[in-house]
Amino acid sequence: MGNLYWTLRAAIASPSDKKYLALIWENLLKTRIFEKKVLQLAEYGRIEKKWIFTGFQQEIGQSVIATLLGRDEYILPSYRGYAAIIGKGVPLDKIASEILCKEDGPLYGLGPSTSFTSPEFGIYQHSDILGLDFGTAIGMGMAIKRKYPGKLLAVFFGDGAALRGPLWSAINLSIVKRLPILWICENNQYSFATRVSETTVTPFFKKAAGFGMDAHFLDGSQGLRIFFKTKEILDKMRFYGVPIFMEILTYRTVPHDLFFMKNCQYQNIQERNHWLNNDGFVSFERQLVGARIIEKHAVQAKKDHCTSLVEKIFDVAAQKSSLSYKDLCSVL
Amino acid sequence: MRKRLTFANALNRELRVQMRANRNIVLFGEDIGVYGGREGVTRGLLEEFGENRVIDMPLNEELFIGIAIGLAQMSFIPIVEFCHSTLVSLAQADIFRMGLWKQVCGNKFELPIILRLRCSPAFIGAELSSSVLTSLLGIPGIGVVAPTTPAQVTWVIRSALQIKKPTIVLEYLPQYFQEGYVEEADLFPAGKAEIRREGERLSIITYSFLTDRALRAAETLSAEGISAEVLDLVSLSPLDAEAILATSAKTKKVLVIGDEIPEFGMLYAKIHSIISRKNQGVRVLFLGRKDFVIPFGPLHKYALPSVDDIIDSANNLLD
Repeated sequence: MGNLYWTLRAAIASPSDKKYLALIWENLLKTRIFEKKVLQLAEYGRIEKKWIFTGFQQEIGQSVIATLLGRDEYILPSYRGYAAIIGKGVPLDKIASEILCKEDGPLYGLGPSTSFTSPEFGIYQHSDILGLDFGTAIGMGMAIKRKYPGKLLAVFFGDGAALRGPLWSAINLSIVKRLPILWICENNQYSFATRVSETTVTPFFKKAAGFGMDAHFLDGSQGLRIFFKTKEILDKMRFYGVPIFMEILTYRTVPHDLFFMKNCQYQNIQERNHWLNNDGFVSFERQLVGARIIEKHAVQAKKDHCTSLVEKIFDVAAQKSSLSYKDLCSVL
Repeated sequence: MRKRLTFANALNRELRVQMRANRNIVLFGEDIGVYGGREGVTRGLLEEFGENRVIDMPLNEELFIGIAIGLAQMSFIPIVEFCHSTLVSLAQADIFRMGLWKQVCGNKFELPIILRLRCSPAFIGAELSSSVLTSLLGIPGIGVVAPTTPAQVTWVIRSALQIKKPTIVLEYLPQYFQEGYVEEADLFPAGKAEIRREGERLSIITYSFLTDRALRAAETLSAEGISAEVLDLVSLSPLDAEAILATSAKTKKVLVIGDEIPEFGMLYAKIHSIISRKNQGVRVLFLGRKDFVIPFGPLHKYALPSVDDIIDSANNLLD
């Protein structure tokens, strides 16, 4: 289905859908500007947490899904980017405080830079040992099924973690026990510096389908397609309480992390340029303007407003206090 | 009211009582539902509480502890059974994580997790009988207990549920059949050891099925005029330092018995460290598993300290 089809579909969408689409665009905008600022601060040495993982050009899937989830639904985000936690509604000033190690961050400034436990937003922490989240997801799925029927958990992971054995045990268990877990593999085609074609033959969504699970493959640059498909999936999950698998194809256009070797030529240049020139956020914005969901003349103003908001948030956060060593011992 | 029950029945009874009192307690493991668990520990619980609270799992031990963490952070209290203790090594990364997860998440929730590990000392070959103690004692943030009697296992489950921290319960196979009285008493203080036999000449510090062997050895030693004190640790992490120091100060001769291989053991090192820091002039000996791969067949009985081994070691200590 071409871009025109999705633009027209958005144009005739219900008012509620249009509202969500506008919100998703705003969340994406915030994410993009926020991450740019984080990278800038990191390059100037102003961030003391050394592990920063940007999700640049990989944000759409996370943002759509997190925005469409209810406040009382749950996510286990991955370590890459801020789109999921911003989509879930965590205020930017709290995220900024956590990144800058300030004591009013969700984990008092002591947590990782991209994901932290905020139960009030339904966000639980990912494990830095990739593969351990899958068991946790099963436990949370069991809890949700028992205590909060009709709600669900979205688990985000990359193509690297998707190679771990426990994922497939967990996927099998989720379908055997009928747990409301949305398994989202964000395949950016590289596990650190290893191309996904060297690590698996069968696409991940086909493997999941082999377990008897409803499984979908989506292009991560097609925001509207992801939106409508995700709505369909979430409705089904909330009604039937079944697990579903989504594989969202993106591309790592930025280094794995800030310490990644800068001159390492591990990607095909043409492939990389193709993805760089097909920024999903840009086409999503264009489609929403075409569908009259956001006004063209308001876009730049919104961007300027967001930019100055993010600047202000980080300026204010920089002035806040951090935990002392004495406080650390009492907090932990 | 005093009730005489086997260890397995006492455990079944206590699980039932606690599950009736708290709807958030969930049991899971292999064959704990329809089969009733190994040694019948969970018999009848599926019928009473249903399949949402007594959950039969496939062979997915690598996920069990992660599942427990997921349930616990959503305010459930998972009690997980591992039918063989060494299978917990499939979930080693999660054991390590379990100890630190509450702090990593900013203390935003408790992690009241109980792992019940069924330990087969030397009966079923090297892979399923080897001690897991060494790997568990080095992990911060988790409690490790090894109850010996029906009363102790009752107390251990109650206190684990009260303290709301990850607790690993080592249930050694011979204990399931041991009978004893389950006191309807006040909560046994978590982390405290129990003097099972008073003595003056030497102290034997041990746990679980080795306590029974130590008591038999102490009986024989007593007939030879040697009065041995037997301290049943119950809690292996944290250790009851007060009780260890008291007994070592009294007798000045301590025999520590465990199921670890001495060269690699953690328990002996910890006890020795506690004693040497405070009590001077105490002689400490460790009697543990022999350093060979546990065989199948009748020769397995030579792997672990026997009553005769304990008596010999006690005499060596007194020489």
